[in-house]
Amino acid sequence: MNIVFLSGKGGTGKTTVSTNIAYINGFNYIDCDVEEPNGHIFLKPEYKEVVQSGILNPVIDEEKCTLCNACVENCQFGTLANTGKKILIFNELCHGCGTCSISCNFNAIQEVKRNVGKIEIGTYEKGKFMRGVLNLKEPLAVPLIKDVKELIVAHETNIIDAPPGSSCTVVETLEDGDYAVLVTEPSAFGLSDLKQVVTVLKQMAIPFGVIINRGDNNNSIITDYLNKEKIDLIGMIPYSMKAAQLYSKGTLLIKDPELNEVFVDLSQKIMHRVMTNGKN
Amino acid sequence: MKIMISATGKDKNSIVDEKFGRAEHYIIYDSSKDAFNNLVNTAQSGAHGAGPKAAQIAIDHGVDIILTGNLGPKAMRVIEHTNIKAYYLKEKTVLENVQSFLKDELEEIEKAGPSNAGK
Repeated sequence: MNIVFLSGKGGTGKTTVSTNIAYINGFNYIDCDVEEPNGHIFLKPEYKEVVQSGILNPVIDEEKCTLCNACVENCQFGTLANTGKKILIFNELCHGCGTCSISCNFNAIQEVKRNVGKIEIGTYEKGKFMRGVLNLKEPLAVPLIKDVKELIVAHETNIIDAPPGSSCTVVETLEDGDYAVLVTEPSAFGLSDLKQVVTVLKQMAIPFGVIINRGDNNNSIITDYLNKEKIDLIGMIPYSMKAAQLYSKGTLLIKDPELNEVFVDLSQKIMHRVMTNGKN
Repeated sequence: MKIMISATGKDKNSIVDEKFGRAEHYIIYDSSKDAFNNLVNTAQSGAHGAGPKAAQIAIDHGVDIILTGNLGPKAMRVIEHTNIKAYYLKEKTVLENVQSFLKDELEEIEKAGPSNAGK
């Protein structure tokens, strides 16, 4: 069973909430925020295994290539350019779809795996820990997230920490998700990006609820929207200096008795919803 | 000789567009016919790769000269493999820039500018 934590806007507390919920229940924690994974700071795992992840990129045999232009015309991503003397390849634009090699009538294109990152697998105090780490300067995170997802054990309970935004990386992370927790903050930016992920979740037909983090007097920015759209509010984490201090030291918030109560309550509410509304 | 100019509109009096890959239009001036033709940039809205696609448009239309505001590293790499030369825009409209180029008043683009400048 996969419970995905996402937010739209970055910095609302996806990792804060997901690591604490994973720890309370002893669930597996999977960091799919591969451009900036930071769950390890709080869960302090020991890695036992590293798996490399890659994407297939075209390599052209210039002896066989007739410069017919079929690969250039069929590529949807501008990966290939035909100068009239040579086909140029921009690997960083390639999505690894293989259309170029299929469209080549001269068998001049081979697909060769290029490393884009690694997957670190291990355990933390309470359960399994896994994270994807994208190579520096690598623009395409989806192939790595796909590889991380393939290593997930479906019949166990997995807390999946998603990347920010609402684009391909988030959609890939949400695939096979049974329930989603949207962590937001009471600000105009929080609301704007929340609306975008709500659209994604509705299209993907994944049940979800919302947690307001750093809640304060402005909560109505979010709650007005949730009421209007009849979206389930799971709960709220009040703004607290104590939480900020613990976070800045890389300490789980549940180490503080008051915050522990907040998270135990949230955890029960989330699990109740997963059991009654979740897909699995 | 064919000159391709990145532009915001579709005729010779249009204001130029400093962006190369993400320009809305390309106007191609053919000196042998003294004619200006408009191309709508279909690659403008893709997430990545607009630069090399625009360079491919130049190659496919047999362009000799590009007039634009900035060439990113990928577009530059394509251009370097051809005989096409690129120059920085200086004037306001397409026509004025072509006139300046013909009077040899524009500066050649020899180094790629920043990537994603047009986003």
